Amino acid sequence: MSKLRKLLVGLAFLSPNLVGFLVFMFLPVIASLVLSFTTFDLVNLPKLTGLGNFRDLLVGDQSEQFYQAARNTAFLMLGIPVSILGSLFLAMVLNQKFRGMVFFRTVFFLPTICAGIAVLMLWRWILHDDGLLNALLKQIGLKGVRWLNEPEWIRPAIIIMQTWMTVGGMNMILYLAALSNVSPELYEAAEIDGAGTWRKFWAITWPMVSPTTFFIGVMSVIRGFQAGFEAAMIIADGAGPGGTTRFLSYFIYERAFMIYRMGLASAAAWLMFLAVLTLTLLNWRFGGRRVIY
Amino acid sequence: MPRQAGKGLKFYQRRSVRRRIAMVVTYAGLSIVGITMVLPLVWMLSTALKNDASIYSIPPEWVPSDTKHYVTLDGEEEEVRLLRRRVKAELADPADKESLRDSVRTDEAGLLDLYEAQLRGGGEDLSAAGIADAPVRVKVVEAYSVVKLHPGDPEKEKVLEVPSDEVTRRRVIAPQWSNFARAVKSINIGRAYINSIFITLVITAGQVLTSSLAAYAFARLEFPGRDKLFLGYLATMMIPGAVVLIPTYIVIRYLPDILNKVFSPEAQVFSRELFLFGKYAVGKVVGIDSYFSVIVPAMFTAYGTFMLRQFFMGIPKDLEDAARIDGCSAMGIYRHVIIPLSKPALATLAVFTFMGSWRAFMWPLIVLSSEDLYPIPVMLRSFQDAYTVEYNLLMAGALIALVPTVIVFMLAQRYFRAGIRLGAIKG
Repeated sequence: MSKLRKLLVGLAFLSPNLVGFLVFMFLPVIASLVLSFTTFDLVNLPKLTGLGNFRDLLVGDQSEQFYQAARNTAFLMLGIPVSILGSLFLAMVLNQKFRGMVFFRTVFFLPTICAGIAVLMLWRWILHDDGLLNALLKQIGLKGVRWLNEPEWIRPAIIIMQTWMTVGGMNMILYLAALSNVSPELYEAAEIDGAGTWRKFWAITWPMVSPTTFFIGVMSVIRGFQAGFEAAMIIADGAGPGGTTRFLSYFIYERAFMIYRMGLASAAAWLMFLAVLTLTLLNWRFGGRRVIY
Repeated sequence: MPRQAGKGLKFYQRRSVRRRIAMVVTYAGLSIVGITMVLPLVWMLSTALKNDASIYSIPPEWVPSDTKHYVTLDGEEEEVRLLRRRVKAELADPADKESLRDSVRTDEAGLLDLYEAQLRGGGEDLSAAGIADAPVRVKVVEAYSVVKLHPGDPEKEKVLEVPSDEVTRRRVIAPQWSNFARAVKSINIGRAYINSIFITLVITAGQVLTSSLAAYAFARLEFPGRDKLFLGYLATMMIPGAVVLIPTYIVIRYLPDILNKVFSPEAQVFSRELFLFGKYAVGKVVGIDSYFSVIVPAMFTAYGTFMLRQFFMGIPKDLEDAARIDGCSAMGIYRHVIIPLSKPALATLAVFTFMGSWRAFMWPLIVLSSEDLYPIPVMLRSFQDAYTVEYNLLMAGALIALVPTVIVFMLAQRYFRAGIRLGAIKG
């Protein structure tokens, strides 16, 4: 086959996906970059403002809420290590061969299957002032908290909810797969050498699953930047008490679709993208080196 | 000391015993975690089956129950509806009569006829109930209840007065299955279901088709620029959705105008509203408030292409070569070799796409404003906005929304787990 023919055949197969990809991914990314240097309210034509949007976000009148959004998102990410370590722990327990393992695995996975608006509505009800969580706390003699209305409690509440939703989910399955690849002989050898449980974990398990931990960590951070929109909309009715659930995702939605500042929102999205990119590259550069394959 | 000997060791130091203890601890720990995972979902079902009065009961009630009242008539216990509890009372000091308000009734015998609830504080102070001007003390002579026998049956219905101690009250298990019907009636869940199924099926079919074609090209066809292009695909997986969200929205918004200008300047076909069978609104042709705008941007993902490519790479090349020698074209190989061998991977992608688009929320929320087109998650949100305290109805609606995901998961569990691992082959 000639080179041209090969190219044509290849493009023929690619084209349905490629066209969609260009129209809904490639062009929007470029357009978004261009938009971020303009002001655009959907009615009047876009006007170039140079770095105006970025200035507004970083030092101007939008900066207070933008930094708040960044802080809120960072706060939410505090739940990531807890959830990852929880998944690893559960996977290690499940990895021992015993009866009922499949049952427990399925039960732990339930919240992940159900995740979505329906379950967020359930959590709004659980976290309600007169909801289940406060009632249970009262039964064990603790004073309840107004989870949904106190600025300092709503984000921890969302972290609790997210941990519940993710800890037995995809990450645990990934760890289970990784653990099943660790040869039992390693542990036997370590035992002969007199290694205890703790030592076996640090010397064998942790290094052996480090590629998985790394992968999960990178993905969680990428996702973490965009997290919280649905929780904010369903549980906190938007920005939440004192703006504590104005996550970056909600901030962008609010600017773009509630006050129609498309340029500003695009600039915020790009700043978020740059942060994701920087963090991911740093992860690859420094985390990737310590991972043992 | 050799551990397996067992001799000279204390009971709990023996290996078999320690093993048992470890097992018990493991099961106990797993059960606690398991209960934590399930409890909220049980609470969801329990709330969905409660009657309006016991949603907020304290302490929380796990079994949906109802308080029922019974009286014994002619030796037979009959269920009744309690209308009110009253007491007959006399004044401790007849001189207090002056302080009573006119609204207080007295019967033939001169006893005061009061609601039980008005006797707060042991009847010390009727002024607190707003029926006396000064503190008035009363003595209860008789407590009685007004009940309705055979409520709801207009022919046998009867109102009775019975002494209160003859009315027994019992908490009985009473799941309100009708809540599901009420939820369906409160919002147009049926329509949302149809919308969700339609949107999800088209997106899933589209993704599997376009991704598998592209994945085949990336995995097996050789053409210049292939690997660079693939890297471009991979790189986009890192771009936050928020970046493409706004321009895509702008395109969707102005698409009807552009298309009209180019193709249909007279009839303005592209901004028309469509109706199925002449009466069911199915949104606009394109643009805001159209199925098109929810479906099409969601149909192309780098993720699906990436996942299928990884799988296609693992299919032995010999099979393909054999087919090529038999005169198969690239399309023939794709259809007769690759696709039949990749059913598990295709199913996996289909399941993931289904789950993802079934719960998609932000994009439909942005591009749809007409309730007729709402998929379930967006519909649930307007349900929540409209019914702020009726958590039993909200939970019933939410449960109805969960059914398809749970079914799909149960049918396709193995694909699901396979897919999670497939996605992790490479970061």
